[in-house]
Amino acid sequence: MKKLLSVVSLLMAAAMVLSACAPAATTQPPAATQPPAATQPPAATQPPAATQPPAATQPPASSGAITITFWNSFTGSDGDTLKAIVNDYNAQNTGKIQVEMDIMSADVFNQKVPPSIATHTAPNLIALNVADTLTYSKQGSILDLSDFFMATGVNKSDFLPSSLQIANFGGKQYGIPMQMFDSTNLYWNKDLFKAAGLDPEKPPTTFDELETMAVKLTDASKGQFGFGMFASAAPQWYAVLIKGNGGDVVDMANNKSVLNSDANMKTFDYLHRLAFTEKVTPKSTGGVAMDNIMQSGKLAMYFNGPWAIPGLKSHNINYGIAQVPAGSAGTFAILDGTLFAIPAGTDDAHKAAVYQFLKYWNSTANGKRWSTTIGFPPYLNSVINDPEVKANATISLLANNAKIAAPWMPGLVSAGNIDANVLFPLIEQLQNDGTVTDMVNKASSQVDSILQSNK
Amino acid sequence: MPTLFRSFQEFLKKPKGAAYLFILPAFITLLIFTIIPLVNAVVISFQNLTIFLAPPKFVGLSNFSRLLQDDRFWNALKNSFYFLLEVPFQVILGLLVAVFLSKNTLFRKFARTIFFVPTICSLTAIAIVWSFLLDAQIGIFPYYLTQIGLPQLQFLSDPNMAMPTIILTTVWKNFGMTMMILIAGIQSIPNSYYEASQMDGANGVVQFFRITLPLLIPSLGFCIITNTIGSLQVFDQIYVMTQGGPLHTTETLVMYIYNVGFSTQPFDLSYASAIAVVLFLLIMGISLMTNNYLTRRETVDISEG
Repeated sequence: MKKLLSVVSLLMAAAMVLSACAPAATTQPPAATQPPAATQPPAATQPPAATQPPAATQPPASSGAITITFWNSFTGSDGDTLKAIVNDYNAQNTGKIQVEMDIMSADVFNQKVPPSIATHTAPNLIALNVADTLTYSKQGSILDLSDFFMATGVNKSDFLPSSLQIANFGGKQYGIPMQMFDSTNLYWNKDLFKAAGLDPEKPPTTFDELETMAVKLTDASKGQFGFGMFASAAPQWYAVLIKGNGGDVVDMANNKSVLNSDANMKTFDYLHRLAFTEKVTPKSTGGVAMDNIMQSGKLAMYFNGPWAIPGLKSHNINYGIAQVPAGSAGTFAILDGTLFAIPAGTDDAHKAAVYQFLKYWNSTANGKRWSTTIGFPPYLNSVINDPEVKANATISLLANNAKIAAPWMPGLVSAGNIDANVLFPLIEQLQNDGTVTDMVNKASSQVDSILQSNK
Repeated sequence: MPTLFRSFQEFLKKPKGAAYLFILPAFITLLIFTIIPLVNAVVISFQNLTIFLAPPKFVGLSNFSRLLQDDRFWNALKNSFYFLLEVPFQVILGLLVAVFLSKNTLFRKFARTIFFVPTICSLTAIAIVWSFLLDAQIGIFPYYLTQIGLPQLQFLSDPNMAMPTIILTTVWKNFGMTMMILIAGIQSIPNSYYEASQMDGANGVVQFFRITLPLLIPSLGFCIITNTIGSLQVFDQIYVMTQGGPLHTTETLVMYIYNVGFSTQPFDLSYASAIAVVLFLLIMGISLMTNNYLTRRETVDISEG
């Protein structure tokens, strides 16, 4: 009896131990995977690397059909349009190619994708911004797509040269355009302009005009601000001012920081005056919060990208869009974009299937659909010259403004690091008390140490 | 083989042997989810691993020497200790409320429940709600304060106000738990002590300082240690309410670890691990010191058999 008891207790203990071990997969939720798009089957979420065998290839759903997995971070309203396009593509290509899309927030995306590529559990297709495309290409995490045009027969000359140049590193094409945009346009609230006695159809065209108008439009008693200066989670709006005054951040030839140049010091003095002395901006305010203030009609002007338009429309803001004001050296706006990239380790069959989807995406019909629904300017000549697109006032305006747009800190791998850890914090510091020269010199030495550590 | 099994059986028959078997499942869970990741973190802190998981190289102590020169690390350390102020506030508040709510009347039980509710709420949900309530533009607290004449207070965007605001929010959330533990401690004190002291002419205050407080040292010690360890690892509220801003005044060590390793380029996991190792040593040191101090006081003051 005692022997039986000890055997039974040993078995029970073993069972408890095994039950503690096994759920290493389920008790660790796969890095907060967002629930996949409502129409996609749950198989879209990648299984955690720990328990699944490394599978770069997905088994075909039915005879001959290839399923490509697509991860991106289009969590906003543009994600709904993207889902509709993917569903239509799947409907047209049943039995041939099916796209399974997984949409997650940007920070989850950045944390999931690199490890998944390293552990061979990556999707077949991802959407990246320009800076990440550069970083991933340097890490060898994405494939060279230079054979895209030959393999699919897509007309390369239909693309605006800038849309291809932006993801061409070292002569190799690492990204195929998904959308291009000028992330810095001037948006202004016409009603606030009229109330302050300014001409609602005449936005500022120089930095000096921007300052005088912003001061007129700031009213602390009403909680109203003249010009919004994002401190985080926004496009690099300060680039407009830095480059507009003829300055820059990094001297690429000598790999040195030029942040504390004389031209830049004037720019940062200007920003400090606007923010701290004249108090034209809410302090330490990030992207979403600033959008809220603009949408509630308490902010008169800011630099933002075309994604701001739906929010302004839905909140009935009487807004205008203009090219950003010019500095002493001219006008600068940031050309940015989202690229399609294919993670390393994707086999040829899936790569070919992805190419077919990218061909569909960059067809005139789809390019027109995306542009007109989202409101982003097109980068395909055939779409630009389409009469309906030409008739769309907002898109024409954006396309025209984008003519002066250029990439910000192109080819610099540590650009994202510098923006997030030096430049945005500097903007925040300039909104508070302090000596501008000290702050800028400190930031400049931080840029230098980042450049050094990336040798 | 049979003799091995036989001696194993003999071992299991003794209480000590059986005890090891019972803690085996918990130990294995601890091993997989705590000890192995901890050892891994220490190993990674001596390498140069990024989130791209390229094969890492051994770089010795360079991550540690880097953090000694990193202003933002020292700022995070300072902010972590600043946040520790939450512990005395919370314990003292919990103690005072516990003393008043220790009797078992209906009203007191109801009050205890009310105070305990924040403890069971999700920390993230609380942080989201408070960040709406305190928002400078749309929050009702700044609005009502301006109505009574105060200037527009920027609770979460003013560098001087952000950390105290988060501390107060955390005190509000946590003091319920402390209160419950201390009530249990107070209710375990025999009434005869109070009666005896009353006969000797002691009033409420004297009773509190001479009887209640010394006999609560074990519970207080537990509350202080667990809350200190928890406070040094604070992350949720800060991530939701300020993300470490404004101007890094609310960036504590864990927030900095997240920012360095998972939030911004270049996703340097090794450097983040080095900071985590320093945090681990810090918490271990503080826990051992606090534990030592409080156990010594326990053995000196308690006269129970």
